[in-house]
Order: sequence, then structure tokens, then C-alpha cells
Amino acid sequence: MRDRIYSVILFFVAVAVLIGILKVLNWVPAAMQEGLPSKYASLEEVKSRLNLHAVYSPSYYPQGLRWPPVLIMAQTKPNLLILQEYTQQNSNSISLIIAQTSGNAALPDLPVKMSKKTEEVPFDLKGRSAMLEVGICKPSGQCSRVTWEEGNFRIMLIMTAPPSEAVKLADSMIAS
Amino acid sequence: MSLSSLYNSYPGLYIAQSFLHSLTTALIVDAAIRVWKIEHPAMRQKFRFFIIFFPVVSYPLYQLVNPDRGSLSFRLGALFDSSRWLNLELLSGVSAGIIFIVLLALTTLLFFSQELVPVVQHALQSRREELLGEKLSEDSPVMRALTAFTDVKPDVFIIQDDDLVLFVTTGKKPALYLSTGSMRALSEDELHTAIAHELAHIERNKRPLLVITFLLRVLQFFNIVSLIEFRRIVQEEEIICDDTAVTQTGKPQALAATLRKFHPENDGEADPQPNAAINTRERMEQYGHSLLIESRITRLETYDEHPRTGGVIPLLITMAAAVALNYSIV
Repeated sequence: MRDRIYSVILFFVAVAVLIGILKVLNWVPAAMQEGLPSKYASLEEVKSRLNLHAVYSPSYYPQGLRWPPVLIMAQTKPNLLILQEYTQQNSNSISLIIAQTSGNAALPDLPVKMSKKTEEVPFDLKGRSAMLEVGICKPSGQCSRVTWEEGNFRIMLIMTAPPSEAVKLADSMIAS
Repeated sequence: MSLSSLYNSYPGLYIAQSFLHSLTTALIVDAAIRVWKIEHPAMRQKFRFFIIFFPVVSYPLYQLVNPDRGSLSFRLGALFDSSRWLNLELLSGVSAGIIFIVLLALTTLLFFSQELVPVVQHALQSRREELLGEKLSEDSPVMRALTAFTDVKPDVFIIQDDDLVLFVTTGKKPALYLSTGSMRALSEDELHTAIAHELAHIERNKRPLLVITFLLRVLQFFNIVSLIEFRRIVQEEEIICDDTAVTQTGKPQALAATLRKFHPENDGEADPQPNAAINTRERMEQYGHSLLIESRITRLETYDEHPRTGGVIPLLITMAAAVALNYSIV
């Protein structure tokens, strides 16, 4: 019996060592190279740490949206990607995602996904040609997506709200 | 398609994660086998089967449990995030992601050239060889030996060859092939144990586990961990058949002597002038094979009738640990 308990303890020690090794291995790339995906406390920190001048964020937030964003993630390698995720004040589920990318950066798996597109409308967003898509997002229901090119960047915002709110929010991200 | 798009796609995520999951599972399983001192080959095979099986289903299963597992917030809090390494630029601008693709390509090449093609060739060759051998008369020592064992009654064919040859073909109509050289070189006890070992292969081949393992291994053709673990399962299979032969004949020393005769390179004497024509890879393979044969011979010479199985609990604990840990490896 004592032997069995000893073996179980030894096994979990081995697993703990493996967890430690994995943690170190997960940290190594960030130590070797700047610009790999990391969490940031604020957009100001993103600007200063990654030496970026243009980081787009809205000046208008629909009622009920919690500020600041629950997640700010940024990377410059292999391509620039800045991601902001916002929740509702009365729930923890993500209701707004803003992604700023450059080059052919691939978007990661997002917590708000449009599963069915019902409408797609090109429109003018302060002189930029933008695309508004309306559809169904799982599990929240109706959602809207706006995408446009801003200088060297591509901006995409998706929110679980009517299209009018999404357009208003996109509009507030561009200086007049 | 850019490299980052590839690694963000479902196939890319599946390949990267199943590789990592098989690697960590293999490390956990090895630790478990050492800690619980599991010596029973059939039990060790069950542990290793889990290394082949689990990575095939782990990624879709985890995604089913938590569809947000691929999200950035999850990845940033994960124990290990593969994308951090895959996007890492190493010397001369070559990313680790490219090196990973090269590894996958080499493994795939190895799988096709060393596993799939030989298996197909063997299947075709077995059919042809059915016509080559001579059938043996019922009163021969081999046929007498066969009557002593199990319900398996394969056709027996004699090959006119001075070399030591003994193998079976399995399937619906199993057959045992034996060279005249083997019949001359082996004593009656050695012949009994060797035949018992081969019959054990035929008997075990009726079980679908190895076929299922091979099919799962085919699905992981790109995964070098699965390639190594499948070979270890096959090695355990040889040891299981050794044990079956010893149980039936009660003569482990005779089987050890048979192995020595079939593999004279394992007589302990090193070749003083290795053939220059044999390249490094072949020498390494030969060396690896010799080590395996030697370990089987040593095991038979110090035969333990009741090797430690460890029971089912260590297997369940190991599986649970692997499932829990890999959930946080994305």
C-alpha cells in the first residue's frame, strides 16, 4: 500500500516537472523575440512597448458596454495584429471585438463568430470604402461586422448589436 | 496561403496540437511505466496504444468541450501555446514554423517509404509466396510440433534455403514458412519455441487491436511521435509472442538460443571491419535492431513468469493526467 501511494506521488511529481518545463518553453519565445503575442494593460502600453503610432480605438461606446476592454492583445511578428475584446456590463460574454491588422495577418479564432450572414452592404465610411455585414453569431444572436482599410492597416469590428450601432462605433474610430 | 494562416486554419491547428499532445502523452506514459515499474508487455502496449489513439481525437474533442479554446484569451493563458514557437524567427529569418513543416514532411516520407509501402509489398508478396514453398508431410517434426499448440493450424511450407528463415503470413488463410536451413540448425526444443512464437503472431492477429492501432497511426502519418510509438508497440508485440511461446513450451532458454541463432550479430562480438558500403543510417538501424534483439534475449535468459502489470489504476491515472494536461496545450 505504501509503495502504491509512493508511486502515485512520484508520478504526480513527474507531471509537475513536465508542467514546469512546458511553462519555461512557453516563455522562451517571448524572451528571444520582441513582438510575439502578449497581453497588454492598455492601448497606451501597446503604443509605447511596440513603438506604434496608429492604434485605432473608438471614441463612442454603446450603452451597456464595459470599458476598458477585458483583453488587449498585440503582436508585431509575423504580422501586426492588435485585438481588443469588450464585454457587456451585465455579463461576461464578449460582445465587441476590434481587430487591427497589417499585411496578410490571419485572424485567430475569435469568441464572436458570424455563423450565418444575412446581409452584406458596401458603404462609405468617411471617405473609405467599408463593408457592413449583418448576420447571426453563436450563441448571442444578431451581430454586425464592419471592415475597412485604414492606411496600411485593415480594421475589423464585430459586435453583438444592430448594424446602426456597429456603423456608429466604426465611424467614431476615424478622426474627421 | 501564408504560414500564419496555415497554422490558424483547422488542419493547421489539428496537426500542431496533435503533435504536441502525442509528445506530452508519450512523456507522461514513459514516466508512468518507470514509476509503476510496469514490465508486462501487454500492459505496456495498452499504455502505448493511448499515445497513438489520443492525439487523433484530442483536438476535436477539446474544441467540442470548449469552442473558445482556440481564442486568443485562452491561448494567452494556456500552459503552452504552439503559435508562439511557430511564429518565432530563428537564424537567417527562417521561422520555427518552417522547420516544423520540414519535420512533418520528413516524417510523412519516412512513413510512406518505411511503413506503408513495405506493408503493401508484404501483403502482395505473401500471396505470391504461397505458390513457392513445398507442403510438408504430416509426420514431419514440424507438423508434430504444431499439433502440440493451440487451435491455430496454419498451412506449413518448406523453403529450400540454407539460410535461417522462419515467418508467418496472417490473414484469412495463415501460413508458416520454414527453410530447410532452419530445420537443420535448430534443435527440437528450439524449433518448438520458434514455431510457438510464430503461432502466437497468427493467434494475436485475429484481434483487431493492432489493425486499429495501425489505422490510427495512418491517420497520424505526419506525426513522428506516433511513428516511434507504433514501432514500440510492434516491439512489445514481439515480446508478447515470446511470452506466449514460453508459456506454451516452458522453455525460455530454448527461445533465447533460437533468437541467437537467427541473429548471430547479437553474439556479443563486434564486427572488426564494418562494411563500408553500409551507410550510417543502415548501421544505426542495424544497431537499434541488435539492441532490441539483445534485450529480448536477456529478458528470456532471466525470465520472470509473473512480470509486474501495475493494474488498471495506473493506466487510468495516466490517461486522466494526459487528458487534463493537454487541454491547456494549444
